[in-house]
Amino acid sequence: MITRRVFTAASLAGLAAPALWLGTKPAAAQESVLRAKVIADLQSLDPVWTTAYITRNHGYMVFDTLFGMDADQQFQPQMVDTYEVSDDLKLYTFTLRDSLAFHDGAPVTSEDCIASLRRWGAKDALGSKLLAVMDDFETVDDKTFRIKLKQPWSLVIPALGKVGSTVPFIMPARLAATPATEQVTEMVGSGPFRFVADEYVPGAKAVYVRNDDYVARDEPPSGTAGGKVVNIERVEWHFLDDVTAMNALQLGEIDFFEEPSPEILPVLRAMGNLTVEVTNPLGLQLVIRPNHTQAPFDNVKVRQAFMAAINPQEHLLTYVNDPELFTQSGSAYPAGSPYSTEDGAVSYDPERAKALLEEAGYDGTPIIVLQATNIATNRIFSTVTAEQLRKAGFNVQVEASDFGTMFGRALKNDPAQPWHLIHFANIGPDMLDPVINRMVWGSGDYLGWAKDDEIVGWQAAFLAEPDFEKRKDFATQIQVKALDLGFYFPGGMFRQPYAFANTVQGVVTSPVPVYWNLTKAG
Amino acid sequence: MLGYLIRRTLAAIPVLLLVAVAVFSLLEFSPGDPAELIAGDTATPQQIAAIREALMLDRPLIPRFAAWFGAIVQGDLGVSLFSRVPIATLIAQRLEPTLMLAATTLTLVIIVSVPLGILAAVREGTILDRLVGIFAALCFSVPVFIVGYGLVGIFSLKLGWLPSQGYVPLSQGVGACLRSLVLPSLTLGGVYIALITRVTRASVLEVLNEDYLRTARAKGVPSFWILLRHALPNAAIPIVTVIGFGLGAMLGGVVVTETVFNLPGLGRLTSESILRRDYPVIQALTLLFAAVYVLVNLLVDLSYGLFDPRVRQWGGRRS
Repeated sequence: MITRRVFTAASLAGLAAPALWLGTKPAAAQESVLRAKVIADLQSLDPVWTTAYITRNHGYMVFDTLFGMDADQQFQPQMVDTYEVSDDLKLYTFTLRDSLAFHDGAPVTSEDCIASLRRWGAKDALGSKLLAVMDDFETVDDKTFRIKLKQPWSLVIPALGKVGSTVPFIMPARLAATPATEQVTEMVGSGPFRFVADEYVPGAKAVYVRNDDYVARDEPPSGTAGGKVVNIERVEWHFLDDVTAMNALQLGEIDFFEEPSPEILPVLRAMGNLTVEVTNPLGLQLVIRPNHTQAPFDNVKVRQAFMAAINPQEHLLTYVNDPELFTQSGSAYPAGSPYSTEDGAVSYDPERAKALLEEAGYDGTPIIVLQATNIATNRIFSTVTAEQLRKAGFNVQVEASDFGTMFGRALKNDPAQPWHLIHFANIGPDMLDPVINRMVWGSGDYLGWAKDDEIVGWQAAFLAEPDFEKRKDFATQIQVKALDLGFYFPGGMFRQPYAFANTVQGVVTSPVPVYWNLTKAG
Repeated sequence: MLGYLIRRTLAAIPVLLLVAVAVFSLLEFSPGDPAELIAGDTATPQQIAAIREALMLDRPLIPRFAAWFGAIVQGDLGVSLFSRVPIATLIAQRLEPTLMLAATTLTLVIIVSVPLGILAAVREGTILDRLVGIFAALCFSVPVFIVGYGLVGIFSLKLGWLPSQGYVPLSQGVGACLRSLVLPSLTLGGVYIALITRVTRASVLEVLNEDYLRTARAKGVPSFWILLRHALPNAAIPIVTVIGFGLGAMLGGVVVTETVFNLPGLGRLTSESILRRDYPVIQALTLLFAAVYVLVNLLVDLSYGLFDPRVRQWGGRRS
């Protein structure tokens, strides 16, 4: 029989149960945790196999590099302790720092470095150029190895410290033995963080914990160079929608927001508990690349007309909407970088554009501008370009699709599906000099297929030249001719700030987001 | 009934086979090439070809289909082209958030929309009926992401009652898990509340005018009992059908809600895979969703027996 006492006790227990269920939040972790919204979803983990920037960023967490690039775009030893370069630029000797070890405890050796560089060179354009002029690698001992070249090559150190994909990350030799066409899935590096594979959700979440065995250089951090001291025990990467991330940042559900889209920057700045700061002064370059193989853009006068019809300030204002966040420059190399110059820069002149079109005998052939609707920069820049070209007398069609379809069509270059213009936003480190900046290649084998034998010759001379001032002359010559021939339109640099909680300090000025040196209060 | 179950299960096999052929063929002819996306813009044609070969994308269509289908039949869904994670693992990671969201949303929807629909039917033509109609129209009309961000604005940003995003796994506490699903369920539930309310109203209205209900009223049976015991069971079949359709859609197609609330569910996995041309994942997910729809339809059909004794007796066929 159910007595009144039993019934009352049961009812009270029933009322209390929801209170026990609801409101239970996980106990606050003892370790310090930083939650970041990252620029893209991390799908692939091998930073040599794919050129995706997010995988490159992941690479900097887990792996280390022989050299890094500091905030002044100078290349500094990172894993390397000392190095020597022969006077003829044909022999490079590298000695590794002490105490370098992979996450599985194995020491980093010369063999690991050589194997990693071979794998990287099989994939990376600059790396393949290096391997092409190499005689061989030579192992001197476990910590010392040499690169022997067949001819002088001025970009060995910049190649080993390059920041643009593909970065020459150092992996264990057993992993670097994997062909570059196959993915390495075991994330064992010697970097400042360890990857927590058990918590990885491809496309949604990645987790890193501090590598307590990492021995940082005894220097302040600068770019991807200097001391990589990790103060936070756990870093979580989340891929969220921008508006969702904005709300989460305001509520403290995340601490760090990489590159918020420009339209929400004013909202973020208005929130009192956040810092919005440019930590990548190099920024990105607006790139408009014509297809040199498709009429009428196979006519240099038509390309010159296109160049004269573009007013990049409109592009940058439309996307960034803040003059403080962009620098107008007609240089192929990022404004303020060592080879940057305005020699040969093309000025906005729509009347000249019309005259050139007439001179070229332009017959009104539709100019196809490719547009990737799911990439904001591409979508906005291509729309502005189309309008400017129409004003100059071009007959323009914008053909929209997703990025994958657009990219595939561009690479195929099928005359049955012609295209004439494609837009990119290339990171500054990928545009620094005439070898890394593929937009000024004259070999005719890069998308857009611009070709000029004189430029190819100057590029080779640039690589062989030990003197910086003379290399700068070559770089300028290449720029002047490339722009005159309409290789591409460089529209200046724009910068995308990061937003982070005021409790986060120590954000490093760097062309890639890095998570060492950060501290988080509370 | 067992015979009916077996027949329906066997009938699913050609459906799934057709879906497999269709999705494989469609992907084959769709633009874009995952090897190009992987290789990047500086890759040479030789490098792209090498990647294609490594991923076995260079093989002819029919042998590739046969190999894939043979593996599927043996339970091997393959691996993602991009992450190299087994697809079964990818699905398993995303299944819990999707199932939990579907369960909480469906519970909410049924609790709200069935009584609302009944109320509107019983009070046909009154202000209450019109208000329910307006409410349903609003739920249909306002885009999901606006509802979502609006709810976040109120309950997270202004009041601080609920998290704005993220999914807390069940392993970290049932309460915390449910708390993380309150706003997503309310957001996702709107459209289904509207739909099921309207279907319930229409279905109950149709039944309320039947002769046997008039007889029951004439015999003095209380209104509440008439509704519960006589009207609702006879009105249930269209309602259950629509609920089943909604469940199927929730299990595979809630990309917007998952994006707004950062839920790592199957919807986002599907859209990410499509954009990336991750063929094996797209194929596996499409088959999975087809199987889910078949299963849900089967369960709906079986549930008819709960409400209609003729279905129980004849197993769906009249002898």
